[in-house]
Amino acid sequence: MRTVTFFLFFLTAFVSINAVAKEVILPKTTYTPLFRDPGEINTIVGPLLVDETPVTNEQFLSFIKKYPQYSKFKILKLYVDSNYLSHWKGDINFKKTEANFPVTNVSWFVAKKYCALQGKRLPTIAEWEVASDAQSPEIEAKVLEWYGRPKTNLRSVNEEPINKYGLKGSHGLIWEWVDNFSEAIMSGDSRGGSSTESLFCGGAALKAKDPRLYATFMRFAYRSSLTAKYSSANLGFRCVQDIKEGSK
Amino acid sequence: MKFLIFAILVFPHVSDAQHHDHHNHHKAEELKAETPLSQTSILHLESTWKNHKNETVNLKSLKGKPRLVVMLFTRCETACPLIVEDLKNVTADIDGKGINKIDVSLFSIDSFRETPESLKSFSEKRKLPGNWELFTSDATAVSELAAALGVRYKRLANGDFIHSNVIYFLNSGGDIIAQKEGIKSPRSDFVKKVKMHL
Repeated sequence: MRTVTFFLFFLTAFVSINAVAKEVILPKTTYTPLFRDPGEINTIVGPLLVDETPVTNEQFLSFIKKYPQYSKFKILKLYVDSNYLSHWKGDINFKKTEANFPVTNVSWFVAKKYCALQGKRLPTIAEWEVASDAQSPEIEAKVLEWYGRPKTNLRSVNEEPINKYGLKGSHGLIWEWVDNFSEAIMSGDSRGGSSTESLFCGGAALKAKDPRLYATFMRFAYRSSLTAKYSSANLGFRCVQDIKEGSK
Repeated sequence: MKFLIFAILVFPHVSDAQHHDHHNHHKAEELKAETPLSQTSILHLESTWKNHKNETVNLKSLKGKPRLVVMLFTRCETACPLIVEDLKNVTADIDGKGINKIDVSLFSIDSFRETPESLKSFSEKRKLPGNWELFTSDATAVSELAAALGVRYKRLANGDFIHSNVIYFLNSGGDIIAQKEGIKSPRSDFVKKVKMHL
């Protein structure tokens, strides 16, 4: 009996090591928001631990095995739409060749829970924008080119190029969930004066700081179109973790 | 643990027996209360809130009565007083000359500054009826409820919020049946839909 327990313990340890995401450190950085609300100033993000890669199908499988209430057939319809994990054949099956592909077709609710249950959280818009370095000119060009491609083309997260903070797959692979996606509030016409203004307390007079940031603007527009149950074949996520003071 | 299982197995029967000769009406209500929540009920959210009487409330306990739900913050000086007025008009339209047919639950978006006390003073200042309940909780609870309802919001540098002004009508099982978007939108269609479900 003791041997079996020990073996199980060993196995669990092995599985969890395999499923643990590698993290990189995002140093303290200033983020300038795309749209400024009245009185809005630059935000400081970090220092922060950021998952090196988006969460993969394999990592997501270990999560489902541990918390079966999030499996495709058990999940509450409050948390997902009918697309949830639609690329998986069953509750715990996906194509073996896709083990290291980013998990997609996941909703905000589940992504948020996934991170929380590992002692982490989803990044904020500011944190994601900084960590992905997506506003730098050379990356923006690549991102725009990818946004223009109609077809989803998923690949292993491990083979993706590394950005200046050490993140892989943060552009040109998938869109990623952010915790405060619903902050991206956009009326049909962001030049203001539209009839939707009365929908929002405080008005939605949002102004872009730099109209050249098309890719950033597209991400903003994309986020404003999301709902928390939504899932799609090119929308995944990664988690971040606050660095506790004194421990580095 | 064994006792717990025993209790779960036995007590429903005890309570059944106790209520055996009550009115049919009561039975129907009990049945309703025992109906499991639908897959899409927002009452599944596992969050805990404090109301304006400083009582701890789980969303599941709101089951059993249809209600109007709004997310706002009590420090808001622009749209929120207007949405409260709108809500008062909506409930008046629903109730007609009769008594309160529907409860109202106001959930605060402001997890940073809202307290049971600030909720209480808002309730008094706005002279809110007794069947209006106000709630506050932490940032996660707020974000999940907002997400489930479809409320979008953003915290501004001065601590105020931009947020959707929407009145939701939830049936007794916590499913969203109808919504009224914006303060200036007409009430009649919304009220009609609510009345159909009462």
